[in-house]
Amino acid sequence: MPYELLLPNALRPWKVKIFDNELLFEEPHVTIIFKSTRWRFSLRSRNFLDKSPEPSQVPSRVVAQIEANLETLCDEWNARFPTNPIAQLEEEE
Amino acid sequence: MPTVIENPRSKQSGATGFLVPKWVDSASEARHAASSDEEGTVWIVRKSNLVDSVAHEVAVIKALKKSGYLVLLLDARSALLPPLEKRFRAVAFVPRALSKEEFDEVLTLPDREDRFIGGIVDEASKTLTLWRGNFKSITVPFSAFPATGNGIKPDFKKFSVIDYGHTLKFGNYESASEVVLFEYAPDFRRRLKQTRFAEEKTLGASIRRLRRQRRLTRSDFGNIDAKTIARIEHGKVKRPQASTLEGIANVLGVNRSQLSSY
Repeated sequence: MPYELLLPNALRPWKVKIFDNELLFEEPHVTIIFKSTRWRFSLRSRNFLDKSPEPSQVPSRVVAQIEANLETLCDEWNARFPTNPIAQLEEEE
Repeated sequence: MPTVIENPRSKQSGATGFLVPKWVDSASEARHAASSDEEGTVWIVRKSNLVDSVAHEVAVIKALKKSGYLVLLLDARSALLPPLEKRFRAVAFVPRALSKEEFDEVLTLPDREDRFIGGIVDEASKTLTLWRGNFKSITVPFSAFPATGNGIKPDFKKFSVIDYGHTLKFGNYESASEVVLFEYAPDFRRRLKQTRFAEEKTLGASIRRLRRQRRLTRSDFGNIDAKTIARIEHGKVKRPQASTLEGIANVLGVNRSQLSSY
């Protein structure tokens, strides 16, 4: 089951998800979804991974929810993808 | 209230232009779909009897010119494919598709080719055929959706496409669509190389990406030393031996000539 961050009602239909199948060579991240648009936010660097779509379109309250739940999100990522953990594996460097 | 976002890339006529969905809900609309020469129209049919009407009309009018696309939200009927494929640019049987609202929106997006509009599961061959928003199909084995580290597995009987084509859902398991595109769509990989991978275009970077996607370590390459893999990945070996590349490609499950495309 994907991990979906429980957002306050006022932020619906925004979604924040960790999928069960991801590109594992990229930084661990959550996917922020609003209707047909989506952004990727790194759980490692805590920045948006892509310049487009424009990150500033994401309400600061959504980003604040992610930052407030980082520990849980990191645990959920690590449980799903042990070969690409938040803490970079030494052998991968 | 949530912020309303206008996708900066939406509603623009890109290189491929956007498509116009038309839902076929009556016999007269079915006749129109069969005879129309509207190039950018996507005819969407939900009812079996209306598909029969389209196919019958195509046979009656003997139309030779191809135009438009036909999406049938029904289980595949192979007998209908030859006549319909002579008439439409693409004919897609898509029993599991996006909702109507999402379907209509995706067809207007310039990046629709990077989204899936639906698909069809074949349990016998253990494959899933997915239709992209540009009406090209990709057939993938069930193994493209591995269990997670904590044991979450896909249920292919509960397949659907959600999030405007960005998500493939299999019961309680969800996959990002781009995982499938990276693996099975060379055009998608080429675009990633121009954007996300612009600073990592080397053969070594490609090998590293593919290895990590396969959840392998550098020690998983049999008689090829982990240090050799690391040196190749870091670009410290400019021209790896052909036999080494062959061995790497074999472990990664791709043709040697394709390695650099990942």
